[in-house]
Amino acid sequence: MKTGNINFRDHFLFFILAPLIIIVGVISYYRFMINHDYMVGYEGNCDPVSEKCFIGCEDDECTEEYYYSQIIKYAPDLYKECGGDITDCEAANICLPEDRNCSITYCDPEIDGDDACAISAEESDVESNEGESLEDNEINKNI
Amino acid sequence: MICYLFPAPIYFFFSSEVPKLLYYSHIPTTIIALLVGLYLFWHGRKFLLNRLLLTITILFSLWTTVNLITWTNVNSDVILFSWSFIGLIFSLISIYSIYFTYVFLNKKDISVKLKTIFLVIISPIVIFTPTYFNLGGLNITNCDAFKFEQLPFEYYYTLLGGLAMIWIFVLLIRRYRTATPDFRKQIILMGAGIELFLFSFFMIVFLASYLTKIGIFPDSDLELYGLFGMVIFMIYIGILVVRFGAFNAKLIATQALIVGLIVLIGSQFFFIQTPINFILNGITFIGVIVVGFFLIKSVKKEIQQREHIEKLAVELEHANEKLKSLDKLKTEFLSLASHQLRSPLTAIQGYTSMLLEGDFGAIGVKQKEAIDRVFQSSKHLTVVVEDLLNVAKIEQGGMQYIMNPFDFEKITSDIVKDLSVTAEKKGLKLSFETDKKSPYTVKGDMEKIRQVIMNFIDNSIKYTKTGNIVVKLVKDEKTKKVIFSVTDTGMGITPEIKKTLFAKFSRGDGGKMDTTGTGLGLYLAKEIIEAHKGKVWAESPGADKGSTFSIELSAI
Repeated sequence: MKTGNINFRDHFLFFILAPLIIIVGVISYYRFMINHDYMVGYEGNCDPVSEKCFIGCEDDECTEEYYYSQIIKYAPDLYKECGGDITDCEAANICLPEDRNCSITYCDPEIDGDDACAISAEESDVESNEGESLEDNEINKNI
Repeated sequence: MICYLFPAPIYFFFSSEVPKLLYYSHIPTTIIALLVGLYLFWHGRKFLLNRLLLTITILFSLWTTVNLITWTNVNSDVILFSWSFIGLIFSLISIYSIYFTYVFLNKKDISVKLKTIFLVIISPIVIFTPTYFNLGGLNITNCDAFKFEQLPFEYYYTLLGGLAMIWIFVLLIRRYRTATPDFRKQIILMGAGIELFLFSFFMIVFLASYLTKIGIFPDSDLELYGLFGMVIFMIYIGILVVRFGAFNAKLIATQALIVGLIVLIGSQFFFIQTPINFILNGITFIGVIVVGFFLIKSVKKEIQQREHIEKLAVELEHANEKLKSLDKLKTEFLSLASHQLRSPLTAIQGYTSMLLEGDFGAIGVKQKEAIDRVFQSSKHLTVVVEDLLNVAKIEQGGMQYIMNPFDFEKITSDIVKDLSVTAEKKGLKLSFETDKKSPYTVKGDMEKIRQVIMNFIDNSIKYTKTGNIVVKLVKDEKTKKVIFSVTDTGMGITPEIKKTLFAKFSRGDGGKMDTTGTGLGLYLAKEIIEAHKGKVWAESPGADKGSTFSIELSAI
């Protein structure tokens, strides 16, 4: 079946989708590449003496363990505090008052299993500076 | 933000921290898909089907590219920007696969209504792609976004893939029922190809992603296998083109095989660990390209020659049909013209005969001479017309033979007696020899056989200047054959003339001696004798050395 002359009615799927996809691309570019409008998750420092930390392995055989908490921060805040790399950035391991969305999750044996959590002296829970939990919990607790 | 545990990629795409299968599953499949899509588009850019296939292959290539970026890059901005398009490209592939199947099966564009339905179905994906409903963030420790993907969004585009598979299956089944046997084979090939592609692409990729997200798999390496479905689809498309000339393109199997081989050998570079293997694979790679180039060139040349011969054969067939038609027309014309000539000739002959016999009173010597010339000419013309009529009858299959037993010796003897006067007038001696051991009875049309014998002896008299003519009749008791022959001391026959002696309108060198002949006598003799299941032939030592004309018929 040949299509000689291009007209809108025959190709309206393309003519509508193509600009929409371009708009979506531009918005996505603006959101991710310019605004950095997304959350960043990473493993933060954790002291197994004071918190219930997640246990991680340095290698496949798990000959050496390390302890960590799960931190989620809003990317623009993290960029502001640490630049592009969180290595050796202390601010990355805590939730600051000016952080818009920040949460630190410690290991919960009931959810994650006893084996995943390091034994600690104190009870620990998710700490956050969002909504109700912001008021109920101690803010910006050092890890 | 940088995924701090991973090294930055080289040239944006190449990282040592990714599984080797990643490049093998992404790069060759993308190259194959794009090659097929572009090749078919190049050979039929005006055809919607070819455009749709190119769209699918481009979408697939976009998907593999953004997926490769998400695997190899360490910059969170770049990874998330690329990752955000995964669902949109998935959905577009689903919709365009259905669209492609519709056009393949029905050979026409889909309705505006259906296009609107497609648009409505895909619109949630388009709207939510740049939002948090699609993708919320990235884990820079693992460098993945699985836990930040929103399940409703992921379920929606995966379901769209499932819907596409079911939709296409229903379309294939419906069309298969009413298709011709040839098109059924095409439906099976195309259907199997596109369904396998969609199944492996959507289901395996979704399962890998989902199982990684819920923690069953440590990584999503499984999704790499999902891309090989595209290669199978492209192979089926290739078969459709080679065997059925689908997509209005010409592709020879050798081309497809060589390109496939080059891509496969080229893919080995992603696995090679040692320099020696790299060199060996490089030599093989270059060797296949060079040999493949010459092989394709040679096969193409052979195909061109074959096509040229096929074209010539068709042209020859047409020309032959035209010739047959013209020959038929000519025969019809001859028949009609001869019939129209015969009646006035009979009248001319009748009246001139009556004038010569004095039925209309006495005429002077000069007048009698002139009328005799008219009478002789009309007699000759009657013979010519009879010959033409007989040829026309033979060629139309309308010659009728009245088969009865008759004495061959008697009619030969009578003819020899009749023609002796003519021979004597030319100073020739005409004799008849027979062993008379047994009767020479044969079964056939006596009048027509007489005509043949008369023609043979008459020819000998015509084309012999001096000497004698011997008519001989023998019978072979073993084979029960009667053999008639007439031998003269005339002009003889050269080997070249002998080849066409019994052909229609063939006059040989006889035309130089006698200009009244039509060149039909021997042709008619041959046709008549062969209709009696007999044989006719001529022998001669050469020009001016005389000749012998023979007939063989079965005796009873």
